[in-house]
Amino acid sequence: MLFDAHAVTLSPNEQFVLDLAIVAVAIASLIFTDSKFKSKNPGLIFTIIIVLAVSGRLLLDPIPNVQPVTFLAIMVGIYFGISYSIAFATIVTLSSNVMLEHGIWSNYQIIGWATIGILAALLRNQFIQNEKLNITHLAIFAALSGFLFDWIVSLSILHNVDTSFFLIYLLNGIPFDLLHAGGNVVFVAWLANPLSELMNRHTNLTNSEAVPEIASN
Amino acid sequence: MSSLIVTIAIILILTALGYFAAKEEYRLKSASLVFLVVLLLSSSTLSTEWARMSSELVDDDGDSHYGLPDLWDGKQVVCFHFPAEATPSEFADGRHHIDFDGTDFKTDKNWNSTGACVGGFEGYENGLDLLNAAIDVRPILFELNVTDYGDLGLFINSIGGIDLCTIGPCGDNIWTSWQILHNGAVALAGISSLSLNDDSVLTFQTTTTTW
Repeated sequence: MLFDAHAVTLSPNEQFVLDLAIVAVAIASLIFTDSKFKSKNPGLIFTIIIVLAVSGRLLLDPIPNVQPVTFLAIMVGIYFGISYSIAFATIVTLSSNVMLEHGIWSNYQIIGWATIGILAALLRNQFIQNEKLNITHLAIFAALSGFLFDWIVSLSILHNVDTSFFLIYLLNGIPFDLLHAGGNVVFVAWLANPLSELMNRHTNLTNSEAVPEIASN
Repeated sequence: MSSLIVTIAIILILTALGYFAAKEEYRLKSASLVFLVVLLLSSSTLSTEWARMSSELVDDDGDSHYGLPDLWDGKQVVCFHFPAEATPSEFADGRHHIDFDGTDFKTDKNWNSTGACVGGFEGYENGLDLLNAAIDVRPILFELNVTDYGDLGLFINSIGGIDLCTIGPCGDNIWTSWQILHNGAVALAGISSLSLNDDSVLTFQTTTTTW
């Protein structure tokens, strides 16, 4: 006998709890099983992080402005550097917007997440001190990144409205910016250390790839 | 404004509780999670109150919403302009703006008449239905008294219990009454047969007619 699983309908809250559980299982699996792999190929973990960012953004879409992409952009910036950050921002935005919605704002989202990744790469020495992640600095930067990203993306409305309206628009968006900032801090508090260990295993922080490319001697 | 302060205070207090109730190594995890959950639960209230606080008055005099908060753009509004000598004391300092849930969130002290506008309504197609919805927000201050003349429609005797004949002239060839403006122009139909738009602004003000 074959049952039609498509006939099962979930309420938005049930679907959200299920999605949250899927994200949690995915992250936990990644963190707890990854120790078996000893690869130093950064491409592997970079790909996994992109998948995590895209799926996290899609699955957490019901929560307004709370998603892991900004946090992961910061981590990619710190551990992989500037060029990876730009690649991360581009791939994650285009891949997830295929499902969410693609438009002129996609360009601003790419610029926003790339900017945050680049800044994280440039400020890397503030976040990693004595080979340990400084969670307080990271949390502050993640919170500010929530505002920075939202304001960069908000620039897209200037295609439709006058600049005089822009400040009012930004002001009205502050509660949503707070949600983004709060979400980022939660991701930092709960995931930064395990993810940092995972990234350390697959990247060599002492090699040239792990430092910002435009850094001087 | 007070709701906004209370909401922010609750968020901060619960976050502080989340921080201090946890062991030192878990404080950031605990506080950030509490902050986010409380923020999410109160996001609707917070957004509404924030939008009310940061709203500006429309300054384009060609716009039917001229002088009203931009929060109500695209929504329906009813304004009551009371005669200066009979304005309820609650509205005596200017034109108050009251949201559909009863929150008095902005007062325009420079407006050329005193009274109140009740707005943020959506989906009303008939003038009387919108008027009744606005009156329900402040049923005593906006108490409506009408006489039904059947096919001729309704005649508004008083709004807020104000007898206009005690304020303006009423005689054999002169009468002071309520006048309805629809989007700034004198309405061509009575309130019970007035068709509305999605962003209609109904204004009730007094006028003296002679014949």
